Amino acid sequence: MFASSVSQPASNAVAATLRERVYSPAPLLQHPWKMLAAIADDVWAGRELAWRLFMRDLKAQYRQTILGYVWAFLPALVASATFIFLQSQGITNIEVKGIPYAAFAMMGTLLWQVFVDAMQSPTQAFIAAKSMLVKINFPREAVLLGGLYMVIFNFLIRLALVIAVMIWWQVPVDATVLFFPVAAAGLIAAGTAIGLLVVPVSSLYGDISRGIPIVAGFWMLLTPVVYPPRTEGLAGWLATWNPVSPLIITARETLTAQPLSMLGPFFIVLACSLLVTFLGLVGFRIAMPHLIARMGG
Amino acid sequence: MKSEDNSRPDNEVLVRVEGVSKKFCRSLKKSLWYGVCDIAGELSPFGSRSRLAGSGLRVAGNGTDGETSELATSDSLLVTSPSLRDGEFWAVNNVSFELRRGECLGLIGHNGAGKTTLLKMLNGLIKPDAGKITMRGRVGALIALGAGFNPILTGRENIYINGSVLGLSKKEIDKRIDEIIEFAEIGDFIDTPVQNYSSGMTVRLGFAIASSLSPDVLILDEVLAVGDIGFVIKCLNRVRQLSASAAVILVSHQMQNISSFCSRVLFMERGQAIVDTNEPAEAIDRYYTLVEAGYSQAGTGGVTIYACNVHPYAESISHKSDVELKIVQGTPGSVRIDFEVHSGVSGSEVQVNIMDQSGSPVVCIPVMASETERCVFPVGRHAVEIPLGALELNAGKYHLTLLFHDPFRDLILCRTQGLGVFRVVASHSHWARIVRPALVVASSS
Repeated sequence: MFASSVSQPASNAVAATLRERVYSPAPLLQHPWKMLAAIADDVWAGRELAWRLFMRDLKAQYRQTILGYVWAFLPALVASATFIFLQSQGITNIEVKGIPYAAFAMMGTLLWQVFVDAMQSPTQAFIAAKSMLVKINFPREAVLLGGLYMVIFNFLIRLALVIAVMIWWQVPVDATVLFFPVAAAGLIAAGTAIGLLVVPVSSLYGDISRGIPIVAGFWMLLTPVVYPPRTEGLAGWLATWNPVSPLIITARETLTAQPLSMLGPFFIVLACSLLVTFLGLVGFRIAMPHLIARMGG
Repeated sequence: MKSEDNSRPDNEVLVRVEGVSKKFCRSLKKSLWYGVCDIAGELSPFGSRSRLAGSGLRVAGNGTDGETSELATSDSLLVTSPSLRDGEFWAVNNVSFELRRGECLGLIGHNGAGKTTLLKMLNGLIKPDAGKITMRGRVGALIALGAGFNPILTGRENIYINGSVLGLSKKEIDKRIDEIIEFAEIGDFIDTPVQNYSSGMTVRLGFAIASSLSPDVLILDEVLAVGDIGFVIKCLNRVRQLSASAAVILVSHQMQNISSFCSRVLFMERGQAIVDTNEPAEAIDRYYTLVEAGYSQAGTGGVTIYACNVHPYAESISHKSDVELKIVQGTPGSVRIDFEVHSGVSGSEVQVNIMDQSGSPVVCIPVMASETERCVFPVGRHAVEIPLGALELNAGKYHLTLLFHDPFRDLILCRTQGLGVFRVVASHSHWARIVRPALVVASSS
């Protein structure tokens, strides 16, 4: 049955102008370079589509809400409000250098939400595009790219609030602020990397997308978001080995004129995130036909 | 196979399907788990490759030059293990065909025969579990009744998205968009979100897009089932136009469409292509053979039917292996009925209806005693022969419904359908239920 398939090369020369596509059960990883080229092609071909998807989501995102774009930063504000309250009542006693605790906590939670947002984006974008995915063949990467645009857009809204916070509490700024975009990109890259890794499973099993907020809530407490990094004990160990710690710490330090204390780990995490994002894209591509077959029409 | 690769571009092979199979799982939970396993298996650098190595045919897979990778491609077909896991079945099983430019392939089969699954593989939405599909050129597809529109976007935005999906630039779409809107007949709705469209409008727009973007391969799944007759005719004309320069695959349950538009027919049943022929009538014949007339009985029970047999007057065409009765279109037939009117019933009228395969009545034959009076059968057993007249019926499968009616008490004594199954054979399937070819009586030139 399979032996007859060797004839394929002969047809290549005939119509060089026609794009030829071969679908077979062969694992894509057998031709890694071909696959990478195809991914690059599709990311490029899908950019216009990604933009359209983003514009659509942008219009639709907060359509049936009264608070509208406030939802982009409300969860972060409420999370920080909890800690600001605890701190103001003396229940917790967190010492922060240089800036008021309220500003510190708000900046922390807003930056943390950028990470969580990026982490949830691939699964959300994928599920939202399901009806299209099962019916038309288009560059699937466009869905992810559109989700990334949305993450960046929401980040910019939060950034406006961060700036407002900084002005209100007169947070000092120095030249390190120029490094902030890189730090923010690091947060988004790390979130995207994790989000891409879970997409093959999370689009099949709803458990993952339900679990992410719970995990994220706990993870936030393990990360120096509403408290400064510790140097001792479990919290100190976590500040070093929790991959998000260097990102959050560095991002906040660039905004508060602090010396960048974790630049080394930051770049290691950033490099790993980019690598994992890349691997995630490969995995996404490989998983896609299987996911679509299971999702049905 | 190589020699068939004709160098003339007008009949080059655009679709090549070689031994393609796809398995599905009935249970959702298992299906999801198998999905995870499949993905893990494909991602794992050991799983599939070790099997390759084991087959002793492994070629250096990472080679960048053309030859090496071609070898690896053919080799890779050996990797698959076409075995079923618990709860799985073959949705498509070892289907092979080739389609050239200028051909129109009709894909027929009953629900669940694997037609849509096959089309999804052709469109690259899902991967085959075995075999290989080679598609060449631009593919326009309308699968599972919908173009995969994004419901929140307007029709116009969807045109651009679908266009860019099909590989057209914004400029190219700009050039064609008016034509698409006009063809789809949706007028002002073009700037309304697609979720507000009626199902007919959605399909019209989908068809307009898929067919306007000059595809090399056009895949149409059940498009013609939706939409009014005017649009169906428009679609069919467009298909006819396109099929001159493209390869068209058409799925339809309406045999008239298949009969008049397809140059080839593939009949699928339980995932397998059981008929692949250049004679559409042959495949349609097989299709009807497998349609079963639903037998059902109702009424007070005042009448029992012992036998009901249709007889052709002309020599019937008998087929070696099946016992089904075939009657040549336009020849007369009759039905012999053996029945008993039970005591306690004052009498019974008889009516014979000829039903088509969809169950709608085509011919009504009331049994008369005279020109104006119905024949009333008294209590007792009767054997009667009723002429059915010339069977000027469209090619297809028919059955009889017998209706016994008590005229005095106005009761249905017995209504039995699914009796006397017969098939009318003709070289063509037409658009109406009655076919009466006519000769020209007078003409002036």
